[in-house]
Amino acid sequence: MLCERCGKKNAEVHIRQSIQGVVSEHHLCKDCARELTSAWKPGSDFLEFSIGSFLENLCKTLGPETQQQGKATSVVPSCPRCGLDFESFRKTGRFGCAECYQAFREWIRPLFTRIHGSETYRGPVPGTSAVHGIQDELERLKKQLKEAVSEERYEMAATLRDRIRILEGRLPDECG
Amino acid sequence: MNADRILNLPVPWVEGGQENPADVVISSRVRLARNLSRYPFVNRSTPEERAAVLEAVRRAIEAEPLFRECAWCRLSEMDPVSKGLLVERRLMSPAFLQGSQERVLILDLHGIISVMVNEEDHLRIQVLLGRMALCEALRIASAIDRALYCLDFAFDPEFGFLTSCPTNVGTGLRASAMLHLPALKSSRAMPEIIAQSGRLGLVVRGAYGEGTTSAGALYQVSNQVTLGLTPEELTEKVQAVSSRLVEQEARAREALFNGRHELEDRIWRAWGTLLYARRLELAEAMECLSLLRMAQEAGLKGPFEKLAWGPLFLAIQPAHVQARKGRMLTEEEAETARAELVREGLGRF
Repeated sequence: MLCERCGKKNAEVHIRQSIQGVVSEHHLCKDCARELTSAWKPGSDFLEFSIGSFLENLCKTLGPETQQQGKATSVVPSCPRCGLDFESFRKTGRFGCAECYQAFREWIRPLFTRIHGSETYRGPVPGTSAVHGIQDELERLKKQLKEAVSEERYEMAATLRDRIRILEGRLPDECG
Repeated sequence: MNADRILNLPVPWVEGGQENPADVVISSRVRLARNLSRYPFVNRSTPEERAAVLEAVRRAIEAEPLFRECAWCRLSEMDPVSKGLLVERRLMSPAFLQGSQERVLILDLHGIISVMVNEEDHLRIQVLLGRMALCEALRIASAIDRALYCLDFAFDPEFGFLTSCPTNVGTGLRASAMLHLPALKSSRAMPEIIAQSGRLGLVVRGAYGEGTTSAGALYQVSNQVTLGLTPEELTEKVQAVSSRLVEQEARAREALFNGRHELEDRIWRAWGTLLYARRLELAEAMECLSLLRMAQEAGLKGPFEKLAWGPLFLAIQPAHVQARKGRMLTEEEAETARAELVREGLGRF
């Protein structure tokens, strides 16, 4: 598991903090733990953790893939359904609805890699609506793949091709 | 549901088996986080939307044979002691206590399945069994999950089941085992074990109390990551690490029993404390029970051989003490009441 603050080193210090009965857990590398605890002042009630700062740190260095490919965009997305903007997500560390994942998709992949060591789900797929979801996603990815190839962004194309393979493997045979 | 009714419900996870009542692995739990795709997540929903979630869940559950024998506990209608009992029985999370009117706990009357509605996610499905039974717990949780697919869970082909917090996304699964590790605790090996498990994507922490120490030497092993591995793989990982801890605990106990006189003295003192103390703090009572459980597991001869750890362990918890006395108690009164309840439990006055 990586440190929740810097997202770079292994988490070796594990802290449980109870504030008014609400228990939170934090997993930090030695350096971040040292920094946090040295910033603590006698008289303050608790250490200042917030998943927001962790996300903010991550998001400072990691933008959407289009940005990495030189297609920089300064537009920070908002969820069209619940109205949550990415800034608020960074502060609270909570999504507002299922649609947020779609709206922030390019931004959150690196975050998932840091939290989970992976950005791709493996496991059971619920019902028929999920199959439709996979087909929509495949269509979207194939379109992106075409664009990437025509723009000679081969690294991106390879990533997209891998994702398409994983998703195709998830469709029932008759849908494939 | 009131306190009396809760006190009479079975608690299979503390009861242990018939043949070998004491075991290093005390309980196994699997929890799945799910959200209904049609509604915003709980933190951004209106009371009307949360009520609509509740109504949709009610309809789905009433049609489901797995929930034939269950009770609906609306938290806003329950007193603090009853809610405390449910937390101490690990049927709901402490975080569930704070929040909106539309929070409901659906409770299987056999004490195995519980579903929190409108916690951080719309649904938190939990299966809790005694001893190492993670695979079985996962099988039951998955069956409930599939039975509720009609609710149209928020799911993304790339990210899996969508949750309010990014640390639960994917499988939405938290598999955990509670272990009794008194020898590892006293050998001071726990901080190193905790650090090692972090590298494997698992968390080992005190189940009661703070940080690396735990009252009653009870520790919880659970998966930290939820994305990238299947539910079966995650569960197997928790099970594998738990098994390794059981082996390490056995070795540490051998070393501990080498200085047998000292350990025997501590065990008999614990027995004496429980039998004769007039006031008992929770932490002290838990330590005494931990020593006696270890004595049972080691086959040490003595009057504590027949001690029923589970019922006593529950009886000494704060809300259980208050519920038995039928009123709110001051700290001092609670300690006196705890000592009385333990003496009653052991058949001494």
